[in-house]
Amino acid sequence: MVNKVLFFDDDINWAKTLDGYFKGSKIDFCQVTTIADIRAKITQDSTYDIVIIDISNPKRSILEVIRYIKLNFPSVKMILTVSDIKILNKLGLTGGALLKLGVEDVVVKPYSKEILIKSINGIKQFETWKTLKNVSEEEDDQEETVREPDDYFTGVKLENYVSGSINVFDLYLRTGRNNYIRIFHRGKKFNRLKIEKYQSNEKINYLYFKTADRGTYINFTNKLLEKMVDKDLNVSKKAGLVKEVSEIYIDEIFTKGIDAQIVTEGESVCRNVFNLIQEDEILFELLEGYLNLEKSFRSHLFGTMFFSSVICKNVTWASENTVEKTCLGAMLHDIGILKLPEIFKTLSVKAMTAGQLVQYKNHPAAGVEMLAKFPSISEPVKQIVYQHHEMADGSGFPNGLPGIRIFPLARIVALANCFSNYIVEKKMAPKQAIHEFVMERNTLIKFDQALIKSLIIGFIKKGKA
Amino acid sequence: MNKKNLLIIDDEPDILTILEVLFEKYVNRVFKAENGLIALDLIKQNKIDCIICDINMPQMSGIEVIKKIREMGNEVPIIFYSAYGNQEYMLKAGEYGAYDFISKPNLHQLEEVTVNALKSGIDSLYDQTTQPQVDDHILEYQKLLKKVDEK
Repeated sequence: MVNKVLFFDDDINWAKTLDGYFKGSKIDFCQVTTIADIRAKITQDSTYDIVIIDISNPKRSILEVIRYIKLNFPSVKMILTVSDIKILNKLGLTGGALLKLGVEDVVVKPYSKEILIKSINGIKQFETWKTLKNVSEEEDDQEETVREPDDYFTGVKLENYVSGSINVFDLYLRTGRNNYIRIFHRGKKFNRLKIEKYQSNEKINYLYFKTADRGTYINFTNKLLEKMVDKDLNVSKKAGLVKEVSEIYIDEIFTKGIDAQIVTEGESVCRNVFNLIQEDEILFELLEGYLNLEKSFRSHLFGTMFFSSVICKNVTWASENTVEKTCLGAMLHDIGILKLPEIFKTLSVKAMTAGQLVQYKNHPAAGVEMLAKFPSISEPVKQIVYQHHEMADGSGFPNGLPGIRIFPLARIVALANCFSNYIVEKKMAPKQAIHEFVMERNTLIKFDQALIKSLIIGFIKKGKA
Repeated sequence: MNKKNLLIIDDEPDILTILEVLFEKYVNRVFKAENGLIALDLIKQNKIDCIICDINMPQMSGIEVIKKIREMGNEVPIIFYSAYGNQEYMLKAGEYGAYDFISKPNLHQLEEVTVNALKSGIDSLYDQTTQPQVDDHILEYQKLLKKVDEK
């Protein structure tokens, strides 16, 4: 039971937020705003259970204080908070180094009260799978039948599943409705032969993990993708993985909601997708594979993000930062639909009644309202969500803005959104669809012509215009 | 790109100085305005190619500044560089045709976005006509599609 927490953060505004978090709680909470005070406080009073140190503004002296606490007060738990994960890398604080320094967890700012309390109570929030490497090298020979609702599980295509040597979460095979066999255990050695054993009896297409482990899957797969970019690995494997992690990420934000860490993961997903499609082979593998997507809400969101990346690749003014903002906006563009009845996820605009259409046209504003609660979502992303139905000829909504006034990144997502829908509606392969799409004059006038050109160039192997 | 002029509007003199130092190497001239009224005068008298504007300023907010600029028929790219802003204000700024929004103090992002805005220029970013001239482009698209087929 945690009773006493010492907290350091030199951001006065954030310190005020924390005050609010702990007001009326049972935790005895003491805040300091200088690094020297951390050392002084803990030396005067060694009864603190946890010290939480913000390293967003990294200074050498912070590392010295962390070492001091580890050496002199080994029973005190340390948690770090940071505004950007990249700061950890800059300080050389990778998984192993953190463990050596006695850091139990890292929480990304801005975090919610719930996230912080979880971390304080020992439920790790940061790359927990990394610590598994030290847990066990034993063979995983136990299997057990599990009877739980299908909703508790998330499937990943077997051909796209990439494992490390150790399982980072439990893995299951589905044997029937609400019936599973746990074939791999978290922390135990992964053994592909075991899957092959099952494959010999029955064709297995999917492996399953608990939906509660989805965050771990996304984080783990993002890190793998980062490493895969420069590796000469099977192209379809890379393409499949990028599609799989994107869709599972979309599931995570649309069912669990958004917190600071999930936004950081989203940026990684976008960066990985974009970096991988810089390789022409990957781009074409994904383009070819697009038709195989099932017609679902998450497939549409992935499609919009994917075609936004393709357009960004060929737009001269799109920097790396632009790409991340655009792709995240593309993944979130329809988040306001969650405020509407379920039917709107699948109902096409053409099939809507006049009343439904009025409701539907409110989804961009509803989306911004939902995102406004999350300071980690940047303003450009919210503008994309708000303006993704604005059209260059002024026929769009919610404001019927003329092309010249539409936010540049929203124009990219608007075109990607339309093309992604077009492919599904016409049931065409992307290459065939782009020919037809470009012949529809009434559609073309709705978009920035430079962006249409960028989209077409995406289909030509040699990349940039 | 060095023939272009940049205008920075911010009520904090330190920000004006920092941004002037940051951007003077990229442009012909950096104009500075401590408030919206001075900015509007500068825009009337000079050709400005890009504007960096704070949102929360006394006398005239960034939203009022962009509104006045658009009323003058000027569609210059405007980048909002601000610590925070009321969501409703931000959406309004977007409706007046903001080029981008960067949160203070992200100087690196601001530099990247501004340099891109200056480099691309208004002509490549915006089709200035309200009805895009699609027919002019279709021929070019057809040539590109032939290359798609050749792949």
